[in-house]
Amino acid sequence: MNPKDPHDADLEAEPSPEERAEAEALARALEAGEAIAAPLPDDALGAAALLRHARRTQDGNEPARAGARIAAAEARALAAVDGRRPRRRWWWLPALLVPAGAAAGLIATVTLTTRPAEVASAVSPAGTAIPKPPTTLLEAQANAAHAGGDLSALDRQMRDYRRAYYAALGAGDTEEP
Amino acid sequence: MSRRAIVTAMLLGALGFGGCMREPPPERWTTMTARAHREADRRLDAGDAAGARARLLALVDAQKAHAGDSAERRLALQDSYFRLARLALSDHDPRQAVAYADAGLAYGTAPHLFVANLLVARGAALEAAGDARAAAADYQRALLINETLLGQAAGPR
Repeated sequence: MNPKDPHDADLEAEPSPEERAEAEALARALEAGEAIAAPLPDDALGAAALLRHARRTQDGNEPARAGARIAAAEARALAAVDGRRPRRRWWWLPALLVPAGAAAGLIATVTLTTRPAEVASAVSPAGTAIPKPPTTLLEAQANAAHAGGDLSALDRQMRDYRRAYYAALGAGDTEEP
Repeated sequence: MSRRAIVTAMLLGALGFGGCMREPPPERWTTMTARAHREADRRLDAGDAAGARARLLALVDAQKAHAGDSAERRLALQDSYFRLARLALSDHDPRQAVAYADAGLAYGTAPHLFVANLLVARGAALEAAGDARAAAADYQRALLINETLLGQAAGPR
């Protein structure tokens, strides 16, 4: 028995008067081999406790035959107890983690394949921050990317941005031409 | 004048002469590129499209030799090709514009403002050449990059 198991603690506890009476009835029934008139306790754990108590209540002069019958009955009861004892259910762990892992993998795959690629770094090799294109420039570019779009506005916006872009690149530039 | 003073004066003179003869430090490629663009702008503002084109073609020739040195140099070359494509479009020469845009895109199509510009220019050239389907495809690719850039522009600076 596991000393840490609360069910074992229940089995070791002193039986109540009601349990004692039921145990004596059960012991008599087992000894006589007759049908048990009184309904047996539902709880198998309780049955095991009663059996153990019944064995204690046996007369010391009884023959070994009675003890063997009780022992056999106890073995059956304990087997039932084992069958009913709540077990730690670890099955849920893989059942939960495997689908969750598969879902996470699927989400990552879909995200990486559908997300627009990251735009080239906005930092020069020397670590100088390259200015981001202003929204006015991006709007001009979007307006030009249509049938009949106006590219002259894009040209004008690019002039300003080009100056800032090369100035920022040049700030950290140590390469020769 | 003592001998020591004469020797000192000669040494100082030699050093000074050497300093004057030393070549100026080479111009940085970014400075050279920015200057070429400014000159092209000035010529365009003066109505000298041919002069602007010649300046940009010279810039492209210089940039090609170093296009493999870094991503920044490659992108700079792509920007120059965009400007040449725009000039060809202004000259109503869509085939030449497509050729310039193709030349620029041959250096890479990774998402960047300059790549999106090349796609826009090629889309406009294809549209002018009557290939609406190919033009729409280029516009769509440009807009995808543009959308990403807009998202970044709206983000933290």
